Amino acid sequence: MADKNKKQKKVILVEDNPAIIEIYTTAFKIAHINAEFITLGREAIERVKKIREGKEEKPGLVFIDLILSDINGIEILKEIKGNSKTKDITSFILSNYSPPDFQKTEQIKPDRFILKTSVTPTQLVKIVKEQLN
Amino acid sequence: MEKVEKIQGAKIGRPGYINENCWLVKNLNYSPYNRCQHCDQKFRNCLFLHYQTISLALILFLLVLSFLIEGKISKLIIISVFTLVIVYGYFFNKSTDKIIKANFAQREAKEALEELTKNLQKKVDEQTKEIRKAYDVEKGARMELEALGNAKNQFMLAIQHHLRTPLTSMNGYVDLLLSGAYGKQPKKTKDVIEKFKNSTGKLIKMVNEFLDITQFQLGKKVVSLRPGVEILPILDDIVKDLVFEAESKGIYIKLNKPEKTYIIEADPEKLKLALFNLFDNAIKYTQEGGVNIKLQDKDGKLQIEIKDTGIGISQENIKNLFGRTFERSDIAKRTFATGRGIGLYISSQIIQAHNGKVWVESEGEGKGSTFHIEFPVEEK
Repeated sequence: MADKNKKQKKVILVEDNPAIIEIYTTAFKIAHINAEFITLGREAIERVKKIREGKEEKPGLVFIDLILSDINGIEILKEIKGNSKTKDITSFILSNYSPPDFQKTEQIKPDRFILKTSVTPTQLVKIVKEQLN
Repeated sequence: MEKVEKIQGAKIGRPGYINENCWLVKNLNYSPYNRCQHCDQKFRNCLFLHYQTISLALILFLLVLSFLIEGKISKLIIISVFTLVIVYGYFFNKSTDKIIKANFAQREAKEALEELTKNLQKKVDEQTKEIRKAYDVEKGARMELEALGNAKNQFMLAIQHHLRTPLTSMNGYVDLLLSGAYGKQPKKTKDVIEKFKNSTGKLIKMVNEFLDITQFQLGKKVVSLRPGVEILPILDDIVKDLVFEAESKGIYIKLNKPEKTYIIEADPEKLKLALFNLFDNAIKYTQEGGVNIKLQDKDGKLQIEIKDTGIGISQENIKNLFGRTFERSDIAKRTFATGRGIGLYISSQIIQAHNGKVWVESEGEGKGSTFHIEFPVEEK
């Protein structure tokens, strides 16, 4: 009972493909996962800054797509992992682009890299639940 | 040494005979038109001067001798002197001609040899030029081919996102349909969706494999290693996925679970793909018996052994088994017609990207195979 009342942490997905957003929205809704989609990279960076300033709550998990319409997802990852106030936010790269060499990107690495085609929405829900619990 | 043998083998009066002890020959350096090293006279002139000097000296000597003996120069003495001078001149000239002829013969031989060497060098130069030209053509073609291959690979990398995104959507919608997210489906519809899911899965696997090969060929990273990955659940999942395939063929697949827990640094999805290919191959190419998998410690490393009772591999095919793409042995084609010949290449590349290694042992065709995989183990 206590678990049910406990507010579940939010999952943020930085994703710009409408079909993928629709699929994950449906899957997360059925699984009662509190998910928010951010479609622009710069908007995501603004969100990270607000979290750093304490104006927004820290999410339980962030999924970042590498190829976005405005900036590269790595920039968002740098914004999260490059600051002591946000580096503890679990951040996964969820992309259809092969993993870049993170060693070259100033020691900034995601907590996990997931190839989008390799996971079904059901599997992604399972990953989220494992992470949030 | 050669010169001495030549002198010993030749006879006086024959071409090639040269008296090496002759002061003239020595001083004139064997050439009738060269100048003497001492007096700067030409060989011919020098001989003539030599002849004149000796003749004059001889005449004077005999005249003085005649005068001293008889008190006058008699006609007989004069005739004798001139006869002697003529005979001397004749023999002197004859020996000089021999030297000259010999020198000419040597010079001709030398020139012929030089000409031959020159012609030979010319031919060698021409052939070298042709070989270089052919090499340049081949090099140009190879570079062009490499550039084309590189362009193809770069293009594939550039469009990987666009290739995978629609497949992700297809896979996602199918998954949602089957999970009942859009309501319960009639059985027939569900069967069709299952078939669609299988086809989509195969297409995704194929696209991912081709993109992985592209990455390998460009020397790019394909795995994202993370620490603390337990290997046994991955192996267990693969075996569970393959049990049905094995049993439907009337063979077995058995994973001998160790008591020890092995933790490695890995990219679980990629590692699963690499090991799946190897396990799946073992089942594909085994008609009787089965596949045994065991894990063991070996020099501080984890070693996975996949032993099958299948078609085996000839020594010739073992050599480059993991280095070839789109090539399969004849016996493999006969046993399983639809393979693409890329599984082992991808598996070995992924295993190497995990700082591991893979190798195979087989006593030959029809005698089964044993694949060994080795990974560094993480310290607990």
